[in-house]
Amino acid sequence: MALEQREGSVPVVAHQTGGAVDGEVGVVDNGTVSIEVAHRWVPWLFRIGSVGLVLLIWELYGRAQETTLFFVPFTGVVSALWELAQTAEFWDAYRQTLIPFVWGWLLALVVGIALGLLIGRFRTFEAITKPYVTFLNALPVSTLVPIAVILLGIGYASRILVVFLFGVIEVTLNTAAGVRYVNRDLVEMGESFNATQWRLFRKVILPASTPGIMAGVRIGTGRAVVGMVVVEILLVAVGMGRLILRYRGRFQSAELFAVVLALILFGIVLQVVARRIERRVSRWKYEMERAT
Amino acid sequence: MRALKKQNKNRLLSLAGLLAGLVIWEIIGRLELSPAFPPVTAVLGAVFEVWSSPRFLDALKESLISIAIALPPSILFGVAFGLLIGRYKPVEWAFDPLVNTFLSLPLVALIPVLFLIFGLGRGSILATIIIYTFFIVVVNTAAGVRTTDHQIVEMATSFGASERQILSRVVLPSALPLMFAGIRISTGRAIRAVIIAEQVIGLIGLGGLVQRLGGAFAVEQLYAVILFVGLFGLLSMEAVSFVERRALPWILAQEETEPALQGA
Amino acid sequence: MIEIQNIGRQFNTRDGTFEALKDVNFAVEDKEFFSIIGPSGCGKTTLLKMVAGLIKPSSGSITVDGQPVVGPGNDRAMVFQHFVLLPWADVLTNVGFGLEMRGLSRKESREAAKPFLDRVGLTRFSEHYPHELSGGMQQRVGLARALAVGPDILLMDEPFGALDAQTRQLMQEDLMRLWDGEQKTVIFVTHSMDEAAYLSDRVLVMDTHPGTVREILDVPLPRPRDESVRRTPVFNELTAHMWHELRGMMGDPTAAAPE
Repeated sequence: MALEQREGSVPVVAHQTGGAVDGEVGVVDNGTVSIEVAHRWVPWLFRIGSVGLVLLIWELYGRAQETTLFFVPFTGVVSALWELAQTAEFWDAYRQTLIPFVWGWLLALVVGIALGLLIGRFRTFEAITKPYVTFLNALPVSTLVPIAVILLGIGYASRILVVFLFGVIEVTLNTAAGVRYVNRDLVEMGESFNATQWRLFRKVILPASTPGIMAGVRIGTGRAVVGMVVVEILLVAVGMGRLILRYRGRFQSAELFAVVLALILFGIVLQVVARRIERRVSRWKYEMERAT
Repeated sequence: MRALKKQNKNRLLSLAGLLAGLVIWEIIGRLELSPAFPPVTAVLGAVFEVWSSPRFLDALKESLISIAIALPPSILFGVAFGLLIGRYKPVEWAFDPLVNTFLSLPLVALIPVLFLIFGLGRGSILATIIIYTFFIVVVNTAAGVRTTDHQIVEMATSFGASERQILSRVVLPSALPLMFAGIRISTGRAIRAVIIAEQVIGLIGLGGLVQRLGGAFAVEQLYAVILFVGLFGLLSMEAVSFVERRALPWILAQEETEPALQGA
Repeated sequence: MIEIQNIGRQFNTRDGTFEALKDVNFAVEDKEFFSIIGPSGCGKTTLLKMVAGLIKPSSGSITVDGQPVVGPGNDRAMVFQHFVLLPWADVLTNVGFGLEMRGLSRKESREAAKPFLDRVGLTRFSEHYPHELSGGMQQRVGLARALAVGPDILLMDEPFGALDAQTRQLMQEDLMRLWDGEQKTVIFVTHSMDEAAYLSDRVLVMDTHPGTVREILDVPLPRPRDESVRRTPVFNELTAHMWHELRGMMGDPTAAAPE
């Protein structure tokens, strides 16, 4: 939140999430609720504590089970993952899962951004594509998986298509929004200098829409990962999906949990990276918004 | 007046775009370029047949039951939780990592685990719906609570309001717009959740129907079901929007919280 | 009578301890119209909120009729610069809000609020929503809300600061008339010397960094006052004096604002 300076006020950050100042945070003139925080590390205590508690419960509940058939304790999962990570088979499966992901994801970004730019820039284009975009946005994309299979078989092609379909909508929508909601003043300013349409686009609109585009990339990446996993659990011939199926069939639950954990970690890491990049690229916008 | 004309022009364009697409599809279908694209007319024909068939209606009933059982409690608890997280810092600190983790990970990946724990039945489907919707409602409600104008809280305190009164008469009304946004988003997600979970099981509900039709290469009927699901999703979100607008006449448009947009 | 004794107030900030108020001492008589004026950041609003019971002093005490102030109370009501009405409730409900907080039901408080809405001349708008009203009207709703709880003391925090100049003047005159009829004690925080001189019996001029009492001026203007009073020599002398004091305190306007 912004540092507020109002009449009779104390310049103090109000209501930040954790990491507040030592001692009492003062009351700003507009009446923001004062937080009394003993020390800076208190929020972290809560955070780490709760995570630890959850892991502890996971562990104890898992151990309390008579059998590890249905629920595996935390340490069990971690050690299974560790074991698996030593095998070549695991990494092979990972690779086979990743290949369609990367292609589908890249395709989603390229097509999504291109479409998004067009839709954001040209109202006509937006109007024409509106029924399709709206429908695809509301539809659970997983229902299109059988269609993809009928169209392209069960090889990489259909998998790439599925990942693409999962990712492209969000990339498009967010890119379009990023372009559409570029500050009107900026555009008018550019026009006042008699810029050509193309130059205006390249030098004003595009840079100004970058935050929106990056948001689209981040969210679209998350969706593409979902698509990747959907492929693995609905079309199981190769990759991680095959491992899941095998472990389920053989009731090797620890390994099953481990594979799922690997997928989850992959998704989380990608999200974190995408968020970092987005933040870096959009920094000017955040600063601007913070100052107002 | 000009704005209205522009709006109508855009609507016409949308309609034109839709029709153009349908025509192209029809041509592709007639040319039999791929079994995946039957002519539109065949699909439309299948629509009437499928939407009235007992097989479809049974599947629809199954899916709706799952949503009806899982969604309301998820929303209720999500709102309660979100209120606590938004209002009390220690609660936020404690549950932040959990909530954020669940929002960052591909929830689909948890489906095999849920099936392991709850078995291949309705239990897993309900669990899926809950994890898809609960956290979204929490996050949006918490964000709504945070939009509470502190000046209003101070004003209420100056008139002697108790914490309970502040919660019910200031915080809750302030949180309503984003809370509703969360509810609207989670309605859409509940539909996605039930479909994907049913697809994984492959037997019951609309998801199961999709898988079976796909397996049988019954493409026209498959499209008919897909069309229904898409339209149903649209309509239910519209319905929530409608309720939203009636309940909150003083608020125009509000944007949903971003984290809510991601995930499965 | 309100007694403010040896009030001090510190805040802990990132850059160390900030002293907002120091050795503030003064008293406000019953039924007096008492203004507080001072440069930005001098703590006058903090002081007001202390009397309201929203902030606790770091040192010193505030008593009302001998009773120490420990929190908000029935005898005091605040009017805010930015009106602070509930956007989701209609005007009448807003006026009755204070009463609701004191335990009345929605219906009862709305009923009890009616005469106060009449008093500020907005009866016609009882079912309207705040966003449908102009700034001046919204502030009148805020005033009605404060009056509705029947306080002995009105605490007004730059209530006309968010209004345009003409509305502001009208509101000042309205407030004058209202106060003449009501006989309440008023502590009025303002930036405007004209406003302070026009409305008050006495004006407290505050110093800043830290906030403290610089001087307390008498306003020897007869009551009831009308608009013509603004053009009298006494009025002009008073405002000139205030400006002289304040100007001296503000120093170099290009220096960094208290940050």
